[in-house]
Amino acid sequence: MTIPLIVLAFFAAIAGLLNLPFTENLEFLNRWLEPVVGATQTQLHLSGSQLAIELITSSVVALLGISIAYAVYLKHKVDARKIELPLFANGWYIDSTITNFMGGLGRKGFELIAMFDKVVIDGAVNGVARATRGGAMRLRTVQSGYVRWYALMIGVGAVVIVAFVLSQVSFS
Amino acid sequence: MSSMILANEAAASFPILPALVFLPMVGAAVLALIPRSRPEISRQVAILFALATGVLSIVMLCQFKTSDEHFQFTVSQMWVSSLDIKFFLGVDGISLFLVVLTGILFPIALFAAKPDNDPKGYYAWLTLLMGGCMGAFLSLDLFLFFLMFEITLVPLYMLIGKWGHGRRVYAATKFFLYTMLGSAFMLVSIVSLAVLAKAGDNGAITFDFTKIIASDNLATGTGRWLFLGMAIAFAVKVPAFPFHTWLPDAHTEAPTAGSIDLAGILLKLGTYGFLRFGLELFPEATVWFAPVMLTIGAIGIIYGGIVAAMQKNLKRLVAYSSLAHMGFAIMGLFALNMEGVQGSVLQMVNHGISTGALFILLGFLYSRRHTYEISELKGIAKVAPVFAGIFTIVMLSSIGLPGLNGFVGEFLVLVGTFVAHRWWAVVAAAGVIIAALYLLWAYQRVFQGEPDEANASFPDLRISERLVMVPLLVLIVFLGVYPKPMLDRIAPSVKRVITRMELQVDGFHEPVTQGGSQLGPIKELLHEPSSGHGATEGSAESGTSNGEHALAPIGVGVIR
Repeated sequence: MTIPLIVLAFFAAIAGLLNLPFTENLEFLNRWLEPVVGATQTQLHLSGSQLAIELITSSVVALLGISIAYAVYLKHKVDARKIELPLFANGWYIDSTITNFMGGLGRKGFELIAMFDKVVIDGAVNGVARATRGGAMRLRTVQSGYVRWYALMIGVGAVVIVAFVLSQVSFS
Repeated sequence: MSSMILANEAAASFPILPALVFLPMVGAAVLALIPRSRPEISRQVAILFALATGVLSIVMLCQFKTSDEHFQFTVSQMWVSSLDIKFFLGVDGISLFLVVLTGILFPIALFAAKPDNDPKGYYAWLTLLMGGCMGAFLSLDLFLFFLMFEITLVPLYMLIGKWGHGRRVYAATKFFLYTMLGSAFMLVSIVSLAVLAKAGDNGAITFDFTKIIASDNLATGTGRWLFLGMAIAFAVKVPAFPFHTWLPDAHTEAPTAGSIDLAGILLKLGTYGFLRFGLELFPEATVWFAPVMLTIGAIGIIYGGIVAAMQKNLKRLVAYSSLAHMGFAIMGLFALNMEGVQGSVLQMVNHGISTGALFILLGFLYSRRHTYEISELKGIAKVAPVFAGIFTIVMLSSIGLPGLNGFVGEFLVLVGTFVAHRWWAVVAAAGVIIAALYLLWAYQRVFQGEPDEANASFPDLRISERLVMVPLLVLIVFLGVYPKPMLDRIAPSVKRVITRMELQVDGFHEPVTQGGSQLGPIKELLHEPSSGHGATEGSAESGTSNGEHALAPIGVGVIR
């Protein structure tokens, strides 16, 4: 593991050096995604104090990490195995975190929405289909084949049309 | 415009676009003529025709003029002269990669899966489907587009209904009726538009797309109604919330190749339709409907992700993830700026690649275990490491991991939407997290842990199956690391659409970033008052490796 880490550290340091403000030509790593993000990319304009806060915060975080590593691995104040073993044995707790969230907290709400999709949205779609089929089933009994039934329907239709015409015509 | 078309016609000696449409259709006819006693040759014939079409689409890509915003390789043949209906094909930056995707994905789908019965019919329908998709992406005549759009329904209905699983007839009927219902609205819109646009000679009726967009005779209200008719058809096809419930059923019951092509190509007919026959045809209505469409997209992203997380069937899970991914495509379109629309086109292609690949892998899984149920699968990474490894890459591409193809489109869509409508982008960004959640959780349940008895003998991928995945994996990585060749070709046509929208719609300006200094020298280049559109596009053409010039294809959107 040592040699791969040395190689990675070497290139990481090189990449860092390239981004130092020597000349713009060296900053090509910075411009890697410009075809994608370029035109809308804006720079934040920070005041001196804001910039100082940002710089101090990031430095403190970095120093904190270095000092924890120093205390654990060089001074042996804490047994490194106590931290490493459970962390690595549980794979950084990634799996269990996903399982815990999906198994508990998020689950109930998600299930409700999935149920909504099945019952309400798909139910509406299938409901339209069922209503069409149901309506057609009832309507088809109209086609009974009895001439007297058809005659009655023609009569009813004629009455409706006459009633409609009479209601529209004014005799003035 | 017409002189441009004529010039193109002269240049293209070989009618490559009609070949793209008709070669697969001829293949379907040849397949139909193969005697029943020789079913084994149908596979070879289908692959031959699909591969030849795929190669032609790549040739077309190579000959495509990068910086030309107009339709290229146009072919126009009068069909019904009294109504000015033409056989009119053309390709621009917007349809280019969808055509190439069709050319690539169909042969791969043929290689990846075999039917369990009656191969002759299966292959004939698949090749016909390929021709229909090509025709729909290439049509520049509204009538021809409608015809091709409808042609694609029949093969897929047959593929799901005959070669599908379980409740296949239910799924096929639902798919067919739902899409047909949407298309009915589109037909009304198309016919009304042809009559009302009065875009032909002396105000005559015409279905010619280029003539209609060159005219401006529609009343505002009419345009909005006609847009709505088109939008219903495309929203069903995409599918957009709440018209999506046919999709999980169709995907779950479809055979593997049907799922690949349905997710990879056919859903894009909807988003492509929105762009070509929504944004371009009805600019005013597009601007008016944009907030509604953005909301539909955003709901699709979140809702699709959440419902996907709760699915117990892997195919249903991927189907709902498509709802989320296509939500991004819709959102990008209706951000109505360069980043959004370009991102949307990229998202269409990338979703085709990664979801197509996911369905191929699910097909391999089904051929081994005969189930898609997550609860039946466990610990597969232990017994099939190569399968698990390839699945991981494709899954990460689908999640939108930076460095893989899915990221670029989603990111551009989010940037574009953020500039135009901040809060929609904020909501959509949460969808990216949900995508990671449902896919990683499914991966964990299916691939990790100790395999139980049923999964212990899961065979890893064969050489032929690995080879099928290679082109897709190459595309996933290449387009993720270096999307510039694609963006260069898409940008000019997208620019054309947005510029026209600005010209035609009073008070509409492309939403771009306000204030904020941009990357020093690049900003100066883009905001140089003396450099008009032409100058900047010229720098894009020259294709220099200089970082400033590399920006120009996107940058053109910022110039006022």
